[in-house]
Amino acid sequence: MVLTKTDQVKKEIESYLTKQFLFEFDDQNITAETDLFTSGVIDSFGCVELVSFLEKKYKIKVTDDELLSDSIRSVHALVDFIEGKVNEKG
Amino acid sequence: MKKASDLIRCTRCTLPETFPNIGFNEQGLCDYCQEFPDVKILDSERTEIRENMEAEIHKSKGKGEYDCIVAFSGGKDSTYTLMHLVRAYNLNCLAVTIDNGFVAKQAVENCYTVTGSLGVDFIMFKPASDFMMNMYKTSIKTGGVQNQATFKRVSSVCNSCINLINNHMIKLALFYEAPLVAGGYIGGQLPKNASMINMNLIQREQIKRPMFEKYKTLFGTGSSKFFFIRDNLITSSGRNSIAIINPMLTVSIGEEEIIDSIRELGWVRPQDTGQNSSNCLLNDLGVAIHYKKHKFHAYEFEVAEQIRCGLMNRELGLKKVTEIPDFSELSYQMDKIGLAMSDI
Repeated sequence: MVLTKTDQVKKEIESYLTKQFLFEFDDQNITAETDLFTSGVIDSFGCVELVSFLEKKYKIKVTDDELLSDSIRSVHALVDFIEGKVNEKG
Repeated sequence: MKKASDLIRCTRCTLPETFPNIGFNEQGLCDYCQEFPDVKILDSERTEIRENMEAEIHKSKGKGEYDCIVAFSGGKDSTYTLMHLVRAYNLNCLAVTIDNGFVAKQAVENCYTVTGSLGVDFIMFKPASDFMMNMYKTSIKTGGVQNQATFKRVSSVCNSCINLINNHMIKLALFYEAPLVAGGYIGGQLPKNASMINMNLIQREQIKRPMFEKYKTLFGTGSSKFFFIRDNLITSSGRNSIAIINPMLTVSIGEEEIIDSIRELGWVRPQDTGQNSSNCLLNDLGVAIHYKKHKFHAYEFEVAEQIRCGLMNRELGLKKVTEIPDFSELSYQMDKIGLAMSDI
């Protein structure tokens, strides 16, 4: 099966999150829609680590406003956010 | 259980086989080392984060009663941080020490001597002993206050204390209208880009809420004043955000050089705080429990990052992470908290 670009980004994000924050999707009722911050998976230090990962991996810049929005709170939101940013760059 | 000195370790940074989700290549290099940038990139990253922090510092000067609230433990890193902010950036700092009941006598002396030498205002705040001892005991017994990922870089004992300290610094910054809060965290304790964080206070409360609810359940309703920031304190301050700076992440300086440079302030290294702390008598208990539970030293990640950055040699790093304190030497700490071996 050939992965679409969206699937590929989702896979990368999920792999990073599970390795970095030591949890498994579904096992702990965490899905691609779960708010990773309010569910306690990612704390404020983790948020800084996540931003660093996104900026390096996808060569994008996460602004303070974006940090405050819902853009990076769940896997689905993250995938949309990254694709939007990468497309912006052209 | 394997001894810390018998673990298979990364051939470069010393991270052990027991570190969560770690992998090694054929040369024995861990994942973190394989992805680590070369010196040139590292230098340019450091310059970039330093410039970001400096821009915020220049913007913040003279805006409040103090420019910066400094979380000052009296240990070597926060002492260097305070000195650096005062001397390199001419900031009007308020140094704040939280007395957790385990601050070494020499560290207390260091707090008074250093702040005197630098001519900065200084507050020591001591939360009630009953609360602190219960907080430590509960953190150890449950082991569940922190989220899963946190134990990669800190023990459960230290984590509760750090959260209490950080919260108190932000409250004081609001009270004194100080635009900056500084910590003495070094590489490995925080990600590099944490050298300057513009922290939105409402978002912070949202993110921290689940953890704070846990604190309340475990430590009692009295914990609110130590871990929550009331909405009206934020509202009445008229501020949405606070800049958190960690200057140690922007400088390339190792432990020996730090100690050499703060000696002139009258700082003296305590002899009773163990291998990895220069202020706290409780640290070794946290390390011993962390190793028993997780099978790796609580300072592995920090030491590994220091080695990768060329700020610590491998030999010293190995010494720091392989000498696990023995419980038989920690009876003072355990008795004070009211902890039995069966609690661990």
